[in-house]
Amino acid sequence: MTDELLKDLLRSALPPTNRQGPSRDLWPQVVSRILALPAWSWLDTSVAVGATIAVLVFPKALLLIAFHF
Amino acid sequence: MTDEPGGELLTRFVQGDLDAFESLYREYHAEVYQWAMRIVRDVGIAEDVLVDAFWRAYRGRAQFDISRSFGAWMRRITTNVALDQLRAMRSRTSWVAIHDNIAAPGTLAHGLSESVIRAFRKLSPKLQIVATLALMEELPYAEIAEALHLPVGTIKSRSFRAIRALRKELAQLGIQP
Repeated sequence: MTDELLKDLLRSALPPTNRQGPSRDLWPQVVSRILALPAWSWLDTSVAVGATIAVLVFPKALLLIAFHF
Repeated sequence: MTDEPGGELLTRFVQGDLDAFESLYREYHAEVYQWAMRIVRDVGIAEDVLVDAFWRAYRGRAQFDISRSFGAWMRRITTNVALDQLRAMRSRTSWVAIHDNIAAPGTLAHGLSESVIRAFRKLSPKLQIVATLALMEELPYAEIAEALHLPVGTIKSRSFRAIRALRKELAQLGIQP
């Protein structure tokens, strides 16, 4: 099989399309991705888990915290 | 290729001005979409690539050097996003089978066309992208090298490997015209 024949086979099986642009305006999707709130990081999760465990293990610490408010 | 935007617009973009970014989007989105279509050859996936590429461009705007070409930078980002999409498609068995959204095959008999697509989709994404751009689109090696941010020699080598792998795969499928 020559390279040219191989190229012809590929082009026939996977022909190019004539679309010049997307089917709809995708700018709103780009903006919503940009403005999306960042997901919780591992650090956020570990701090939340640590705080919960601390409160469960030392419940009286809550009184100490409340005293300062 | 689109005329390069002015330095003031690019500076505002780098500073995070969303209006400036929208102007760049309006100017470049068709070019980005067409480039994505050339690689992924799927209408819906090319739209996903377009959104992801512009999102990544905005996220990485601080790395953009305003003295360089915005079009070339976008093309490189789009190529990387498309490559990620090819990797994702490959992990889906339905894609290796046959994809519905692909343009209707040209003159080939259905069975032969299916075998060629199957052989093509079995290439690694790195080889697929080079095979698409070098063999099907017949773009110059230098242009592909710039888009993939690789040396021209690597592109030539990958093109050769893609041809060899396709021949082997098609031979296994009983196609030896």
